[in-house]
Amino acid sequence: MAESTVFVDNVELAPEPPPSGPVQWIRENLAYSVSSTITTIVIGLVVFFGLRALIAWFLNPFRKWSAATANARLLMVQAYPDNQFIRVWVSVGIVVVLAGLSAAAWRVAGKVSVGQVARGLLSVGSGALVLALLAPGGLTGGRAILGSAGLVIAGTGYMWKRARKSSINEPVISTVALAGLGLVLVGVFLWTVKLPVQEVFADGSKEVTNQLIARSTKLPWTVLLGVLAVSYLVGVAIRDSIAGLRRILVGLWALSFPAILMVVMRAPDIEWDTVLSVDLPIFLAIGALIGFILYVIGAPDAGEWKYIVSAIWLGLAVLWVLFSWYLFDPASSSPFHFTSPAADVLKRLEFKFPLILGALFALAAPSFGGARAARLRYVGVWLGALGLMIMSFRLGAASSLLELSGTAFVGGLSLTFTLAIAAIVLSFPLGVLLALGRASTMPIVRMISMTYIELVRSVPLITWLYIGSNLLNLFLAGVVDIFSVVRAITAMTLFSAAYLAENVRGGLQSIPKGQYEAADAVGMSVIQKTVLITLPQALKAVIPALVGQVISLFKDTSLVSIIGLFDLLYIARNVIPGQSANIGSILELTVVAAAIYWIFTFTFSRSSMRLERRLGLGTR
Amino acid sequence: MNKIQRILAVLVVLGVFAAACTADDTAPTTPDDTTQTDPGTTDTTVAGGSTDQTTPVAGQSGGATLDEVRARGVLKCGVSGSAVAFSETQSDGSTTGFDAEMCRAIAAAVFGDATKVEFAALTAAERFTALAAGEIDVLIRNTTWTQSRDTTLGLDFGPTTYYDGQGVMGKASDGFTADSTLADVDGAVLCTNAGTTTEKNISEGAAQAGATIVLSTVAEFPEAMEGFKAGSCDLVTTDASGLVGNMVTAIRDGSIQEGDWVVFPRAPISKEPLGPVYRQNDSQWADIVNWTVYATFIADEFGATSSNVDSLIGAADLNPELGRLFGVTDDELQSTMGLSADAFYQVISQVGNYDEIFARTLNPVGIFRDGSYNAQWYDGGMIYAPPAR
Repeated sequence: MAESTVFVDNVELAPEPPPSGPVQWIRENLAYSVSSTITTIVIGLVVFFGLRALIAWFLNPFRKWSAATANARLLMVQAYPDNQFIRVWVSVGIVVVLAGLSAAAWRVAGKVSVGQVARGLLSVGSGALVLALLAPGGLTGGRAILGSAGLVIAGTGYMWKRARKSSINEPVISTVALAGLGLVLVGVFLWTVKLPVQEVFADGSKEVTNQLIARSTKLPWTVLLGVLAVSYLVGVAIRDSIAGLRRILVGLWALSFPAILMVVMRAPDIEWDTVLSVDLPIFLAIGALIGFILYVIGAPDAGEWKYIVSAIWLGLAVLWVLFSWYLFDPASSSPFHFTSPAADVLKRLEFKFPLILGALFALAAPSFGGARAARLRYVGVWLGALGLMIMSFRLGAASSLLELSGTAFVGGLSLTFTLAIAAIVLSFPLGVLLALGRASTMPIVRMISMTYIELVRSVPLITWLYIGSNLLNLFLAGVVDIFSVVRAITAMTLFSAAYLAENVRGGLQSIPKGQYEAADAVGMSVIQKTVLITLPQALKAVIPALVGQVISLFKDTSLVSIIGLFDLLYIARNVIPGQSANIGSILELTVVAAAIYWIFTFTFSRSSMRLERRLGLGTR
Repeated sequence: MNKIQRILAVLVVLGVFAAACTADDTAPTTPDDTTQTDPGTTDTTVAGGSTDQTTPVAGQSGGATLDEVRARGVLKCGVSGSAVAFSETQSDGSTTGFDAEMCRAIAAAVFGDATKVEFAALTAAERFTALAAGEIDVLIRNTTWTQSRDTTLGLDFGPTTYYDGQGVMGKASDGFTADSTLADVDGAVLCTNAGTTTEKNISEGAAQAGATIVLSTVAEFPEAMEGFKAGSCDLVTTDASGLVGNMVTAIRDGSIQEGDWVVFPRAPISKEPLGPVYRQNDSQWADIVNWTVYATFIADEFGATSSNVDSLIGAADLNPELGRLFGVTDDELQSTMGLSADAFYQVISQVGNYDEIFARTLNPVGIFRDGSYNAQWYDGGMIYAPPAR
């Protein structure tokens, strides 16, 4: 110790720390030259007055925000019948349970440093404070609340940040605790917040009062929040003991969507007689017949004949789909009108679709076949797929028990979601297949894929929606009463698949040739090479493009109002301003709809960023 | 072994197709029992339904719609769901308004229960397709009766329930009064929604009156109203009922004073007769819809309302026409139409007469019958029903 004091004079002093502080920050970032100073001032003024005008517009007492709060139900589910509302809650409940379990299974919980949380609080709070201060008019009502809340939040964040600076170890908080806190806050919000409620009188006048949220809304939501927490905890408890939990959950997610749509929300009136006397025998017969063929084709020997048989089979089946309306529809000029009971059975069962499915399975059989066990498993998958297909046709053909006051049992946000999820999920495999087809070395496959992609991309989505809503019923010959939602889903899927194919193709082309060669060198088959080597890399590379497509598809669902479906935007812009109590509320409702779209698209893009980070995209 | 399996597989594939094809030419039996509109089956079921049908409709395949509605147990009525005061979808999902009341009236006539109606909210583009495809039984969606719609769509129009007409709304501060004409709008910026006949009517009308206007079009009419309020539009135009509805709401909000905005000219720019629409070639159903509407007119004419109808039919001095209409006397004509004798009594007692319906749904948005085309014929209006005898 003493020695060091002796040599202190000779030690070079550390350089002065650079000057810091707000003035210095401004000098470095906002006013480092004359032109930058002018730019800063001009932009600052534009932002100031722009924000001020915007806030003034929002806070104007003439704004009819009560039109949105009073019609929250219309925006969410259109006119879904009152007495069946439990179905809506069950649907949300299924999603919530799966979300909780998945969050546990994929271990999304992590740690976040206190500093980050404090910074977040500081920016949210000061943002609110700035908004409150910018707003024109006196410091009253909502402005005062916003301002003081902002002040409190920002202050908390700042104090916390200061406190953290003094400690040496960066303390961390579990994100689960934060999420739990968030759930509690949402619960408290549900039971305490007052929203404007309208009371309309017989003479057409109305009164708007602020009231607590109705019990019929907040109680189910509170229960759902609890269910979310419980299902997460259950997931944590079981995730180590159940092997393959993730795979099971993926399967459940895949099944949940059609189950919610076809069974829970639609309330189909299933004729069990028909199921037992028609569907079941035919399922067994076709399942066994084609299962046997698949078993044979899956045998581990080479043979061109397998492909030839499968291709002819597929061709015949597709031809049948295209021309069966001609055979079955009494309105057609067909010389043979099949009206026999057998034909009726075939029509009811949608026999042609199981045949196409079987042909596709047959085409893939040599790749997935092999040893006896593998072939048996493949036949099992076939039976499962066939069963699902027949079941969904039966459910689709069944009449609904609902008393609807619209053309579809989904409307508003529920329709927007139905269309977006279905189109995204269905177009994904189709798009990947098309991309692989376009990159394929087989000329016919390549040509078909290319023609499809170019044809579909060259026509606007609106046109496809029109075509889908008019032509689909022709192809299906009035067999299944394909309701308008399915028509819209089909059109959007086919459209989106073409775009997706091009995105995926971009990814496929970005893969170095060495990867293909290496796969060839270790003797992989074409399918192994694709599934194990190229496709995962290609998909990973195009995640940003895919998310962009998901977002645009989500917003494109607003086009379906032209074929008579009432989506979120149509209800916001036409139905609610069409209520005599809410004439002149179109701007407010458009803003509300925009906010709803923004919440979801922003969530998509944030989750994709997280996914990219997790996959290490762009860092290797 | 392998060869046998292959041959077997090929045979099975062919067999599946053969089975699918040969199974079809067995003897014909009952037609498909689904509710698809199937011309083959419709032709064979002539004037079915009620056995007390005394005057079958010659050459028509009548009765199909009534049978369908009866079998279903509920009337499917196509409405707009977003037309102020005509058919509004309320926040609880229910449908209210003038058109909706007419739907309820038809349900009351068919079932004796005005609640047995399912409303199908339809967009303007989808309405005729939905009716032609049989998704709805009757369309009451503020639809203007025009020659092209009547003759080319395979549809027929019932009696007009509301005579609307296109008007223009301006501001009193700009010097417009209720007596202004299209000649006065010279040089004004006029806003309306695009792609409607409204746009065409006003351009033609202004050109004829010798006025030049700057036409500014937006996607939806409410946007035009926003522009009008903000001052970017001097005038807005659409059906007069819509203009009055918007004006009354603004007065009620307190954003304008009574008289700040005026609707003109006195004679509308266009004729917009609105009424029910049904599929053509089903006379029985057409009669039911028409006479349900007429029943509300006639009840209004003779002062029968939902509140006094019960005491009226008990009274000795009941007007003979009302007696027939309400099925009190033996010479009633409702059973001839395939309805129960008291069908129109149910309409009036459950839904009300034309004046009641009008007052309940249209008065709140500031639309009144007095002095309009929608007054009774003896009051100088055009509401006129043929006699019930």
